[in-house]
Amino acid sequence: MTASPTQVSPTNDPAPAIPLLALEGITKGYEQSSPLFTDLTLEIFPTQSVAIMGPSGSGKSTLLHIMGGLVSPDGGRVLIRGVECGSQAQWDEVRMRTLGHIFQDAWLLPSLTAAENIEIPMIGMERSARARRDRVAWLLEMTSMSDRANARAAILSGGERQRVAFARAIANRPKIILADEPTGNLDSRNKGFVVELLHDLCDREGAALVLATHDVNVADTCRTKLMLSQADVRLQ
Amino acid sequence: MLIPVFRLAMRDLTARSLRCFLTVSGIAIAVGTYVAVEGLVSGFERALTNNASQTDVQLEVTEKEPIDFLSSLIPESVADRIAAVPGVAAVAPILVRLSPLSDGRTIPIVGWPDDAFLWKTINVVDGRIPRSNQPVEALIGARLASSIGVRIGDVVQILGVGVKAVGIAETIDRINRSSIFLRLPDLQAITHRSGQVTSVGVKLAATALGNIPEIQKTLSLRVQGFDVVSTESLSRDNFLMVLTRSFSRVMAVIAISLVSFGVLNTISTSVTERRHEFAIMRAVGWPVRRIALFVMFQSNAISVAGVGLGLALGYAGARGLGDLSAYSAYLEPQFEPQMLLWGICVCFAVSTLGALIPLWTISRMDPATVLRSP
Repeated sequence: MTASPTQVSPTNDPAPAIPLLALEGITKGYEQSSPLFTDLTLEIFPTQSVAIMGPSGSGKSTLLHIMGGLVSPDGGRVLIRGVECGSQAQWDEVRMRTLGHIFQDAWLLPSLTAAENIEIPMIGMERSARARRDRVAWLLEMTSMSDRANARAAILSGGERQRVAFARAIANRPKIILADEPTGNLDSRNKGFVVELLHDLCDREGAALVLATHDVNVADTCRTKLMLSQADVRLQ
Repeated sequence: MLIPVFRLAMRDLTARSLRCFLTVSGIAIAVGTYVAVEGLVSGFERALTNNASQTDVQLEVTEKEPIDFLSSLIPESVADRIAAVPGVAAVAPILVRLSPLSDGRTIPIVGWPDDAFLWKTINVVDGRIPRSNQPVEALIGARLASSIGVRIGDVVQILGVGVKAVGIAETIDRINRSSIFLRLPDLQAITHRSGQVTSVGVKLAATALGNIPEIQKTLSLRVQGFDVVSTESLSRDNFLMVLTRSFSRVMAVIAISLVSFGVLNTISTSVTERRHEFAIMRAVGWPVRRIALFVMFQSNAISVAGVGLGLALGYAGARGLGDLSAYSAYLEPQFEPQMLLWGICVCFAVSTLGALIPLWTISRMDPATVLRSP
């Protein structure tokens, strides 16, 4: 897929001077295939919600992973609040304080309980055990998981796992949530509930949401849509 | 931060009880093997050394450079040539042979002259020392008497001859507790070693104990063609002991290698299998050093449990094997703290390496790449 320089910014709100997250001239490809993006530029501002759409293999997940430092781009820069993230230590710090990740498969630690999974990102960030406990309890309540707090992740249903993953993603009050197909493995009943919950949590915490999905209905809940296609990257 | 990381690491471990149990068992078996082998070999070495040092004998005259103590054969008359040397308090010709018992065990048969000072070094707890050769009389070590059920008046078959038990003796060292003591002329007759002995034991006067090397030199000049050695040297430097020590070192290397590879393989496999979990930890902001701490807590906890269980298994196994063996007279396991410490250090070092090497490899990959991998 070829990509043209693209800029995503809010259309209605006046944009702050420095974006929360900026991609500058990002190029990425995998071996034996044409590049997914070439010279991609993109900016995310506070409280913004952006849906990244496109068919399978168009690079939605890769783009989210580049934004979160989980994959290194072949070229270009990723800036968080105007500062380039180059080293692993910088990314660790950003992922702990500024970014929250949600994956399609939830990716919880199966041997730990729902409460312990939510607590994991808070270790190192929040020193007080009591403050961690209180925050975990609040997040469990927000995600309607209080009664499953001590259940091991391995025995939770798909919808329950995804709710725990949401709670874990916002545990440290991040400024941006990166959600990769968060409804991909859910049935239609759970899907609606989970999308609503995701927006609600982001609103409560004042976080921007970048969501990769191939589901038009889910994408429609976001104010800005970015279409990755075989031809280019388009802003809708 | 240490406490919550430790708490989560332990919770994660206990949630995988079967996996954890198997890993601990693997380490315990490897450590137990090492401890049992080392314990038995050290015990054998100690038993021979104690046997020589518990009988008031400081020097021994033997055949020139014997392959081992038992193969030495010298004339009994050598004793008379050294008895008058200044500093020598007493001498005792000693004949030692090995004899199989009907149950398959092999025990030492020791012959001392009637007037030997050596009889006074053992504690006769029942009966008396041998006096007559019609029939041949024997003093039985207490451990042997107990294990084969011999009482005073019973006849024991040794070297094809029946000997009558007339006393039971308790001694400090394990070998004598499992030995049979006869009068020297009786043992010489039974073994067709008339006028010959294995060695001559030399007891030095109290005033000469500070000058043993000098007396050793004097004795060597007096009995040229024979060796005059200290009891410690006789038990430590003979061919049998050198062979045993070499065997011990080889077995220790094999056992410690087993421990190392077992622990390394188990821990590194466990870490590699959980690469997705470590990628998740990185995705939620854990730095690699915190994940390393998490893994270290787990690998060390497993090592503590495995080493603890292995020590207990090794100790019990060595004791059990020692008692069951046909050579139980020599096999009282000896557990040297230094040897155990070595084993424990190697185990912890290897488990740390086993955890950190795969973790280092995983940490060099993008978390997303790890998560996408099968």
